[in-house]
Amino acid sequence: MSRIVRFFIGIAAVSAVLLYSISSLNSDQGYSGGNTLTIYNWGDYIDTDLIKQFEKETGMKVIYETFDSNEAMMTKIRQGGTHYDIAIPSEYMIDKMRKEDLLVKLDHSKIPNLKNVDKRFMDLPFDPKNHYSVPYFWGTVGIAYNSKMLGGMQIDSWADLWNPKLENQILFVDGAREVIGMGLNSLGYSLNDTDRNHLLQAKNKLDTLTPNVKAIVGDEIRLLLENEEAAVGVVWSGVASEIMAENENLEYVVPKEGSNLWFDNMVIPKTAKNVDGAHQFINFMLDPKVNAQNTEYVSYSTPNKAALEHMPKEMVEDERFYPSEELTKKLEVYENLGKKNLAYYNELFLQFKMHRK
Amino acid sequence: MGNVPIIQFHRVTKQYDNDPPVLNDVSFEIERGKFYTLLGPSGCGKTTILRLIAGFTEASEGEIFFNGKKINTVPANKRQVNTVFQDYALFPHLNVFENVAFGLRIKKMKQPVIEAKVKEALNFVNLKGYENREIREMSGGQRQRVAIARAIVNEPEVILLDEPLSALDLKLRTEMQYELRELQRRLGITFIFVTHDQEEALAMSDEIFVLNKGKIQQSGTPTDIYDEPINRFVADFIGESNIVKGNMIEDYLVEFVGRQFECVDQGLDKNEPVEIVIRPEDLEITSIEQGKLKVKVDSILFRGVHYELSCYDQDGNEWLVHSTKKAAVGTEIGLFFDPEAIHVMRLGETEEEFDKRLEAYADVDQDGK
Amino acid sequence: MENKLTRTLYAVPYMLWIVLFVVAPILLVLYYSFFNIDGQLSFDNYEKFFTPVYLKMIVSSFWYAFLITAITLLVAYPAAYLLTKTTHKQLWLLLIITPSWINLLLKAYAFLGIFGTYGAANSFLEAIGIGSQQILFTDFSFVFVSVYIFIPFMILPIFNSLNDLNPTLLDAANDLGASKWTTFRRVIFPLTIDGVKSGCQVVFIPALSLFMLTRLIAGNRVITLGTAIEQHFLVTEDWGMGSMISVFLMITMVLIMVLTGTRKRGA
Repeated sequence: MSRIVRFFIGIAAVSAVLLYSISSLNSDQGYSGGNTLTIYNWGDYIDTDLIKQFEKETGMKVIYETFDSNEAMMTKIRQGGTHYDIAIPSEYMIDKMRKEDLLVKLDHSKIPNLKNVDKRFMDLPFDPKNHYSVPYFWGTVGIAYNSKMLGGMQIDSWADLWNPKLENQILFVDGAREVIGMGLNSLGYSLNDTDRNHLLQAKNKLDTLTPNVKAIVGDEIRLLLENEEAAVGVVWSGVASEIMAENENLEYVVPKEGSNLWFDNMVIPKTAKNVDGAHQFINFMLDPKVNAQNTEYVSYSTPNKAALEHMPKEMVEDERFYPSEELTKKLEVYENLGKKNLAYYNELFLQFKMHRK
Repeated sequence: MGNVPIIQFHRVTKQYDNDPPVLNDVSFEIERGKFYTLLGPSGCGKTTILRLIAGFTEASEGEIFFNGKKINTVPANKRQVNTVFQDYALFPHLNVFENVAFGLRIKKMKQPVIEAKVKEALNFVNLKGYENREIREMSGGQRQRVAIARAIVNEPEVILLDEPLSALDLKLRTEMQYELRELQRRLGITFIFVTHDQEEALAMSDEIFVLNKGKIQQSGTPTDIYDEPINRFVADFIGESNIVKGNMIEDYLVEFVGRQFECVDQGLDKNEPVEIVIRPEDLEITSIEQGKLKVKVDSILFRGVHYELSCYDQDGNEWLVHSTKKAAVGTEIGLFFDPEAIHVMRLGETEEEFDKRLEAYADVDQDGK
Repeated sequence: MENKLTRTLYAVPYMLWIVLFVVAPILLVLYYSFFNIDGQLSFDNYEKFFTPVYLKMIVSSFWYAFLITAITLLVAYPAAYLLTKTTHKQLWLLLIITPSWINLLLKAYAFLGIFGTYGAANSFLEAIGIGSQQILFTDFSFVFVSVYIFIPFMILPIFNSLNDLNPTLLDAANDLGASKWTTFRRVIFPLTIDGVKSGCQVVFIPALSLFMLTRLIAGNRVITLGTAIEQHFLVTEDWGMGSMISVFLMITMVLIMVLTGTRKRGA
C-alpha cells in the first residue's frame, strides 16, 4: 500500500516540477499580460528586428506565435483559448472567417498607411472594400524547374508540362485547387470554374499528364526540388523564392495561360484584447521602409507600392515575382466555391491521384 | 541378433562447457525386452542418459550403440525409440486421436491403417472411445495414457519414460505402476524408466541402475540392490538403512559399536575398516538381555503396517527399527538381528570388484555344501 | 451488499471512460455518416461509396494492406523465432522494438533521404554496378517502408507465443519422427497461430488506412481509404463521407477480428 502511495506522490511531485518550470519559462518570455500584443503568424514570416523596433516605438510587448496551416489557425481562433490580436490567414480563409463572424471590422482611419497598398490588391472578392483584412504578402502559383537537369530546356506555359521529355519529372503540391486549377488553366478555363463538364475535361486532361508525374507531395516539395529529386515542381511563388535561394539551378515561371494569385492578409480576430494595438501594428507594417525591410527578409512579393522604392532594383524588376501588368490580368484569386464544389474538386483530384500510368 | 544388447553405452561422457560432467565415463548394456529403471536423485544424470538414447542431445565422448550400430550422430527422428515425457508433452492443438496418430502420419501411412492402429493403441491403454476428446478435457492419468499410446503406436523397440508418474497423486501412481509393468510384459519391448522414487523402481523393474553424480553406482535386480548395496549412497538411497562404521576382524566376524558380531561376509582383509548396513526391518525388538544391542527409544511413529522407532545406542548412533511391536519412548530395549542381516561394505569398492567378491561367496557357499 | 456497492462505485470511472471515449465516438461517427455534404439526413454517402472510384480505392487498399501484412509476417516470423534462440533475448527484443518509439514522421523523412536519387540506397546500387534506380515514390518503397514500420508490431506477439511454447513439444515431435520442417508445420506454427493472428490484425488493420506514408513515400501514387478519410475531414470538410468510410473500416475491423479470432486451445 505504502509503495503505491509513494508512487503517486512521486508522480504528483514530477508533475508539479514540470508545471512550475513551464510557467516560469513562459513568464520569462513576458507571458504575463499587461500592455501586450499577441501575433499569430506562419513560421519565419516576419523580420524579428521589426518586432523589436515596434516594441521600442510603442512600448508594447509583442508575443509571437506561429501556425503551419490555415485550418489549424482557424480552429485555434474559433476555440478562443488564446487571445490573438493579429492573425495572418490566406485569402480563402478570410471569406470563411468573415462568414463565421471571427473577425473584427477594421477602422481604416487608424491605418493611414493603407494608402501605400497597390490598388490592384485592394477590394478583392474575398474581402470587398477591405473591411476586415489588409494584404501582407502575395504571390502566384507557377512552375519551378531545374534548368541544369533539363539541359537548358525552357518552360513558360502549363502546356510545356506535357512534353514527353519530362517523363517522371514533375512534382505537384498536394492541393486540389492548385492541381485541378492548373488543368482548368491549361484548357483556358477559369480557376474558379464550377461547370462539371469543364472540370471533368480538366481531370481527363490531367490524366494524360500521369506519365510525367513523379509524385504529389506536401511541404517536402521544397526538399525534393532543392535536392534535385525531380526537375519540375508546381509550387507557390513563396516556396519557389525560398528554394531558388538554396539551389541556383532552379528557375521559376508564371505560366502564360494564367494562374492563381494568392494573398496572406493581416486580420484582427474577434477574440483580440488589444484592438488598438493591433491597428497600430498593421499601420506599422504598412510603413514603406518597414515593409521594404520585411520584404527583403521574407523575400515574398509585397503588395506595398511605396515600399518598392526602398527595395533593391533587381528584386523589384524581377518579373518572376513581380509579373507584368499584362500577366497579372490573367491571374485569378481563388473564390470560395462552397463546400459542394470543393468536394467535387477533391473528388476529381482523388481520381487523378488514382489514375495509374 | 538375439544376443546383441539393444542399447550399449561405451565410456560415454556428457559435459557442458567447463561445468563438471553430467555423465562421467559411463558404460552399460541394455537387453531386449526387459524393464529397466534409472534411479537416482535429481542431477545424477539419469535424464541425460535418456536424452542421449532418444537423440535429443549428443555425447561429448564415448560411443552409443543401438542394435550393435553406432548411433551417436543419428538424429532423434530417425531412431527406433519413443519417449513418454515427464509433462507428457501432448500437442494441445490436436485431439487424442491426432496426438496418437502423429507419428503414423509422419510415416505417411494410409488413413484406414492409422485408424486401426490408433484404436488398438488406445484400447491397450484403456482409452477406448476417447478419440475425439481434446487434451485439455483429459485428467492427468488419462493424459499419461495418451502419451503412452502415442509412444507404443509406433511400435518402437525401446520406450523411454522420463519420470512419467511424478505428476500423479499417490493412488493413481500405484495404479499406473501396475499398468506400466503389465503393459511392458504384454508388449514385450524394452522399457527404460527414469525415476527418483526408489519404491517405484523396486516395484517395477527387472533391472535397476542406481546413479549418482554422473556415475552408475550399482546395477542389478531390485533384490540384489536392496540386499547388497555396494556403498553408503546406494544403501541410503534404496530403502531405509542403519549405517555404522565397523572393522572386519576376520572372515565371518565383524566389530561395530564396540562389540563383535558373527556375520556371513568373508574375503576381506583382516582389520579392514568397513561400513555396516542393517535394514530397519531386520532389527527385532526384544528384552535388553536377549538383545545384541542396547538402545534407548527416542521417538515412535505409526506407519500403518508397522511402527517406526528411532533409537540411540550409547555411542550416539541412530538405529531405525521397523516393528509391529510398540515400545514406550524413553525406555531402553534390546535389538536382535541375524548374522545374515549384517551387510558389510568395503570403502571405495567399485562395482566390478564388488561383483567379483559376491561371486566368490557363491563359490564358497557351493563348496561348503 | 456493501461490497457489491463499492465495487460498482469503482467501476464508474471505467464505465464513464468507455462510454465517453469508445462508445460515444463510434456512435457519433455512425451518426455523421448519414449526413450528406449539405447536412441533410440521407444515404448519399453510402451510395457514393459503391461507385467505381471508391470501389477501386477499397480494392487497392486491401491489396496493399495484404501485401504489407504478408511480407511483414514473412520477415517477422523467422526473426521472432531466431530471437527466442538467442541468449539475451530480452535485450535483442528491446533493440528490435526501439525503432517503434521513434515518431513515424521522422522515420518517413529518413527514408526520403535514404531512397532519394542521391541517397544511400542508390549509392549502394551504383557501387555494386546496378546503377541508380527510381526508388522513392514507387510501390516498392511504399511497401518496404510500411513493412519496416510494422515489423516490431508483428514480432512482439509472435515472439511471445514462441516463447511460451513448451520446448518438450518439439522434442516430442522430433521423437515421433518429425523432421525440423515437419515439426514447424505440424507443431510450432499451429501452436503460435494465435500470435500470428494478433500480429496480422495489428498490421493489417492500420495498413488499410495508412495515409501519411502514401504521400511521403509513395507520393500519392498509392491511395488508401485513410487518404480519403483525411481529405474528407481536413480539406473538403465533408464529415459525412469521411465518417462513412470510417464506418466501413470499423466494420472491416470487426469482421477481421471475428474471422481470425478462435477459441483458445490447450493449457
